[in-house]
This record gives sequence, structure tokens and C-alpha cells, in this order.
Amino acid sequence: MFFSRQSRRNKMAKIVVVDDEPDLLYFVEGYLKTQGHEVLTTLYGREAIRLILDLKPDVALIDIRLKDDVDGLQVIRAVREKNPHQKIILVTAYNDKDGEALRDGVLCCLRKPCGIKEIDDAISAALDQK
Amino acid sequence: MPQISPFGIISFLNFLLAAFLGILAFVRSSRNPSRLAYGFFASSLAFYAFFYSLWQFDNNEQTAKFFFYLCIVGVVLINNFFVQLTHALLDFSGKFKKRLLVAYALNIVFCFCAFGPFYHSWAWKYTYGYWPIPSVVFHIYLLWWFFQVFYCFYYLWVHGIREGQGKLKQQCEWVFWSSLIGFAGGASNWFVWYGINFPPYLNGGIAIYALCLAYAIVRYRIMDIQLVVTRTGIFVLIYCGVVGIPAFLIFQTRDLLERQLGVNWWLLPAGAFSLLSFIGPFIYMTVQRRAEAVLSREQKAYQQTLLQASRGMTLIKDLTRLLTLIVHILTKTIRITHARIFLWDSGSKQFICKAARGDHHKQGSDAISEIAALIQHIQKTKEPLILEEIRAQGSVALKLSDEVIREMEKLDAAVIVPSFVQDRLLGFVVLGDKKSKRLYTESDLDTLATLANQAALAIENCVFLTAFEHQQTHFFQTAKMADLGTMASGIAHQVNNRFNVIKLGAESALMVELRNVGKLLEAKDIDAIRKITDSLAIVCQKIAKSADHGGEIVRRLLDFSKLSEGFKPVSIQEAATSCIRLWECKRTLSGIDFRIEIPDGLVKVHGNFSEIEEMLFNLLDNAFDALKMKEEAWAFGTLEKPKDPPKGSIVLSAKETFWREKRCVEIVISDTGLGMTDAVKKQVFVPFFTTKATAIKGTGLGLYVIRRMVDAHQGDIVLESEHGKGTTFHVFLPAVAEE
Repeated sequence: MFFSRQSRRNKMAKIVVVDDEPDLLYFVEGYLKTQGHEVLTTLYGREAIRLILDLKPDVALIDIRLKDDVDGLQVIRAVREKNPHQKIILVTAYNDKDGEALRDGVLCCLRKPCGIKEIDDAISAALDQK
Repeated sequence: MPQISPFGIISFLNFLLAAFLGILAFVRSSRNPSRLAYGFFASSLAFYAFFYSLWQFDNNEQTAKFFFYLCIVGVVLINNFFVQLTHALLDFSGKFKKRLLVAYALNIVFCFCAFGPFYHSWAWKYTYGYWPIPSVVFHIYLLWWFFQVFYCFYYLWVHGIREGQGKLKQQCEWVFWSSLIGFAGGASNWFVWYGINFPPYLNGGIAIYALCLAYAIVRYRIMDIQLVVTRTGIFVLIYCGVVGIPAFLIFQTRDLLERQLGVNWWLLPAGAFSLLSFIGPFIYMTVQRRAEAVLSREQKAYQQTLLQASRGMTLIKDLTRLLTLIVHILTKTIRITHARIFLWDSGSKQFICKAARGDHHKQGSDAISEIAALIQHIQKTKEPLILEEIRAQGSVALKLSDEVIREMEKLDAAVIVPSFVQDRLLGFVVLGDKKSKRLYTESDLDTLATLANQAALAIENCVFLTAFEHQQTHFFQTAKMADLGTMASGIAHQVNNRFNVIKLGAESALMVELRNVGKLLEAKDIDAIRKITDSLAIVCQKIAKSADHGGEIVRRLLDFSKLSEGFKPVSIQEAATSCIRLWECKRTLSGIDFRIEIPDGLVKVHGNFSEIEEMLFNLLDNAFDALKMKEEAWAFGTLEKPKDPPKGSIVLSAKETFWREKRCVEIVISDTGLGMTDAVKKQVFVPFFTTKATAIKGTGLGLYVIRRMVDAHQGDIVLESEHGKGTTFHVFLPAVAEE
């Protein structure tokens, strides 16, 4: 356990975080950076699609509700179309969108409010997955 | 010289009594047909008895004959009015109008016969005076006389006594038996006509008869003595003239007349008498009206006030205000010591005092059970009760138990006026004594009864409106809660987002900043520690901000779900701001062009904040749906998509304006959404009508509720829409009155 965690920590990853809440982005970004990851954030759906498709991050954390009229599910679909292997973690406060997102091939759904540990574990699991 | 005849004396007494009773009946109430008929009947009886006595007193063949003619006219009239009285009593007015007309026609003919054709010749019979020997015409009339009497007795018996109920049955019993006595007395005269020596002493029965009849028809009401005295006085004066002037002619100028006119001298007094008796009633009526107008000016004035007030009552919507107004009007206008209104309370099965005015607190009780004798009595008779009257006539005569008197005393009631709706006793008004110490009159009671009926209607109206308003409030509240339901997930998301930020902030502080603090303290690396505390400060600020924001959402939610309070000045700007904050929880507004154009310092509207908020929320939400539906229509190809469509826009604006000549605030909510077809436009305000997939949104009640709310504000809502272009709603709400 200890070792595996340690080993993951050493592995630096590129992560995109998309959420409509700037404070959330601030905390998540701050934490992930201390873990040695490269982190990019955005509040908008359109920008998220561009970022993810351009940067091809190791994992993308996406909320459903975003600042513009493109929501998280649309982002996932758009990304899937171009890049079916993109690892995506859905983070949402809604309780009825999981099924839809899972069908679209997200790795897991995190239900808000979720803590640092849940995010950390989800990212670790995603990075471990081949 | 006049002779003293016992029959004359009996008849004169009959006359006095019948005349008195006749006047009484006319004074009492001319609107009641049976009382009116009784008045005529008693007058004809008086007419008959008066000339009967004159005829009996006179020993001059010529004048005796003349009085006799008039007496026989009285006989004809008596029967005529007896038929009319019977009809009125049994309420035949509509049914057998023709019969009555036939009777009238025949009796008019016989009235003329009384001046000659009835009589074969004359004789001085058995010391009873000049009597006629009847002719054939008279035989026929006698048959007609008996026919009328039996006709009346038959109907009184069959319809009145055998089939009648309650008061009618009682009245008919009285009329039937007393008539039997009376007509037996009257019929006793026929023996002498046909040469049978049977003195008409039974004539005295007629007095008993008139008295009984009066009791049966005019009973139970105390009358204003002043009025009776006035009317009787005028009557006596006028008829002194009617009788006195011809008498004066006879006694004082007989010689002169005989010299001038010869044998037919009596034609002049007779003519004068006819003329005077013809115009007498008109003089009487005129003088009486004048006298009464003077006497009862005050009374008439307050009756007028009461009637006017009662008409205005139905306009009042608040029950407490209405009841207070009624007691106020009563005490002020009639000038009584106190008035109270008792209303039925179905919960406690009692009549409870709901409004009071005056010094009743001394003794009157505040509630009376439905099983109380008094209530039972009112239920039965449906008529006002006067304590003084019950006391005067005695409870036995009115078949009242002493209980009723005791209960009235307990309520401190001089008069009780019941209010009925259909057959249901809604309540009653308890009135104290008049401050003038005068008695309640018949016309007082008529006015009060009208007032009570109007009040009953007004009260029903109020109760209905109160219930309706309550239901409406409840309905609006339910609609609002349903809207909250559609927002639930949006709100949950917002609230969860706040919690998430708080949780992440706290955790990141623990795991990022605070993790190394211990080491840094040991190393006394002040700069690094300062950096961490700065960073922690930011974290704390963000946590606090999120907690505030979360609290704000919950507060909005609670505000929105709060039961609406009454009307007060409402700022449209505030209502809009408040509702948009919540609306933002439900919808993502970033994808659309949403603008608010409400000028600062816009006049406030008179309304209910929570309902206006709900209206705006629904209209905005509908507009948003319309934008989405347009996009869907584009996607499905049911609407042609333009090349480069601009963002959908919703504009909420408000301005001061005049609508139907009232100063209003016009709220305009327009969208560039799907718009409506004409068919849809016609139905949008119909409950449960919706064009949306009901599972996703809407009960189909939104616009229906809005219209009801707008109606409750006495405003108006107007819709403009074009399919494919968009929809605009104009809501007009009355502005608060300018200070």
C-alpha cells in the first residue's frame, strides 16, 4: 500500500480540471500541484474540449455544470468522438446523470461533495489503469 | 223621532267594533293580502251594521227604507269580501282569479238590486221595524248568498283545516268557526223576511265573529299606539263629516228642502251622503298619509338608511368588518341600547356572538345552543320575536314555553330578528330597547327582516369569499412548491458545490499548507511560515465565502417557499432580483442573452411579494423553455434553422404606465424562443394545458396560476406571440396610490 502510493506519487501526470466553480479549481489545482502533477483548469465547456483534445492529458476531471452553454456531458461526448481513449473522471452534484456518463465511457463518477482523498484515489486509479 | 230598538243597539255595537277592526287591519299591513282582504271585509261589516242600526232606529218609513237599502248593499259586500278573504287566506290569488271576478261582477249587480228589485213590498213586522216582502230576484240572491257562504266554508275546511299546516291551519280553524257563528247570526235575519217570527238577536254573533276573525288574522303584533290613535281619530273625524253633513241636512233644513223639493226632498241628503261616502276614503287616505309622514318622519328616515345600508352590505368582503358595520348601523340609526349578531358555529353546535355594540356586557350571554327552546321557536316560525309582545300576549296564547322568554331575557334581547338562507338559520340579530323607550312597530320589523335577509346573503358571501381566498392562497402555495420541486436538483447542485468547496478548502489546508508547518516551525523558517499563513488566509476567505453563498441559497429557498403574506407595496426590482437568484440555481443563464431593464425608482405595486416573485419566476422559466424548444425544433428540423442564429435572448423590463385608466406597472417578459401557434395561444391559460413533455417540466398549471395571481392583484396579463419568432407577456399590476 505504502509503496504503491509512493510509486504513483513519483509519476508526474498531466491533468485537466473543468468546473464552473473557481474556488474548487483553486483548491484542486493547489493540491494536485503539490503532488507534482501538471494541472490545467477551465470554467468553460468549449475551452475544455479544446484543452483536452489539444493537450491529451493523462486524465480529465469534468463537472457537468459549466459556465457556458456547453455542459460536461457534451464535453465528454465531443472528446470521445475525437479521442475514444481519453481517461475522464466525472465530478458532479447531480445524482441522475451517472448512468448517462458511464455509458459515454467515463472511468468513474465522483459525487459532490467529494474530498481531496476521493479525488486523489480516483486519479491514482485512472493513472494506474492501462 | 227615532225609536230605541235592541237590534239597532246590537248593530251599532257591531259597527263600532267592525270599524275599529277594519282600521286596525288597514293600519297593520297593506302588503299582506289576507290582512287587506280582512280590512275590506271588516269595513263592509261596519257599513252593514251602521245602516242596520240606523234603519232599526228610524220609524219613518221613507228614511228607514233608504237605510235598509244601504244595509242590504252591506250584506252583498260582506259576502263578496268573505270570498276574497277566503281566497287570500288560502293563497288562491293565482289559481282562481276568474272565480273571484265572477263573484265581484254578480255582487255588483246585486248591489244595484238592493235599491229596489229585491223587494216586493214593505210591512211593519212584529215590532222589529219596516221589513220587506222579498221578490223573486231576492230569492235568487238568497241562493247566491248561501252558495258563497258554503263555497267559503268548504274551501276553508278542505284546504285550510284538513290539508293546511301550522299557522295556516290555525288561522283557518279560527276563521271557520267564528264565521259559523257570524253567518248564523247574519242568517237569523232571513226568518223575518220570510214571515217567520224569529227575532234576529243572533246578530250579536257578528260582533263575536269580527273579533275572532281579527284575532285569527291580525294577531300577535304590538302596534305603534300613536299611529293607531291617529288613524282612528282621522277616520272618526272624516266619517263624522260623511254621516254628519247629511244628518245636518235632514234635521236642520228638512222644512226648507221639503218646501223646495217636495216629496223627494230626501234625495239631496242621500246624494250628499253618497258623494261624501265616495270621497271620504280619499280624504281619509290623504290626511292619513300627511299625518303619518309627520309622525313617523324620523322612523322613515332610519328605515331608509337601513335599507340603503343593507344594499351596500354585499359589497363588503371581510366578515368581521361586515358584522361590525351591521351592529354599528343598527345601534346608530334605530338608536337602541345595544345590538349583537349571533352566527351559527358548526364546530360547537351553538350560535355564537360575533359582533356587539352598546352596553350589553352587563348581562347578556355570548352563546346559545341549537337545542334551546328559543332557537327551536325561531326555526319554526321564521319570524322576528318581540319580548314585549310575548309578555303582553302571554306565552300561552302564542304557544310559547316560558323557556323562550327566559332565554330572551338571558340574551338581553328586546327583539330577535332571524336571518335565513333557504331554510337554514344562519344566525340572528339581538336588539336592545330603543333609547326613546318606544316600541318596535310592524314597519320596523319589516325593515329589520329585510336587513336581516340582506345581511344573511352578505354573510354567506363573505364566508364563501374567505373560504375561496383561503383555497386560492393554498393553491398558489402548492403551485409554488411544485416549482420548487422542479428546482430541487438545481438547488441541490448549488448547495453541494458550496459544501464541496468548503470540504476541499479545509482538506487542502490540512494536506498542503498545514502538513509542513511543524517542520518549518522547528526550522524557524519565518518566511515559509508567513507564506503558509497567507495561503491559509485565502483558503479561509474562500471557505467563508462559500458558506455565505450556500446560506444565501437556502435563505432564498425559504423565502420562496414561505406562505404568502398580505398585500403591501412591492418593488418589482426587488422581486425580480430575488426570483432571478433562485432561477439561476435551476437554469444556466450563460448560454443565453438575458437582460433586466428595470429603471431605478420605479413606482411600487400594490401586491403580494411572494406571488409576484412566483409570477416572474414562471414567466422567465417559460421563456427559457421556449428558447430550448426552439433549439430542439431546429435540431429536429421542424423549424428551419437560420445560417448564423444569434443567442436566444430573454428580456425582463418594467415601466410605469396606464392600463384601463389605472396607474400601473407594466412588466414585460419577452423571449426570442419558439413562440406559439394561434391554437396554442388560445389555450395557454387553461389549467393542465402544456406543450412541454410533462415528465421534464411543468404541470400545465404555470400560466393558469399566473393568471389567477394576476386576477387576485386586480391586474391583467396580455400575450403576444408568433410561432418561430418569440413570445412577449405583458403583466399589468396596479401601482400603489401616490402619497
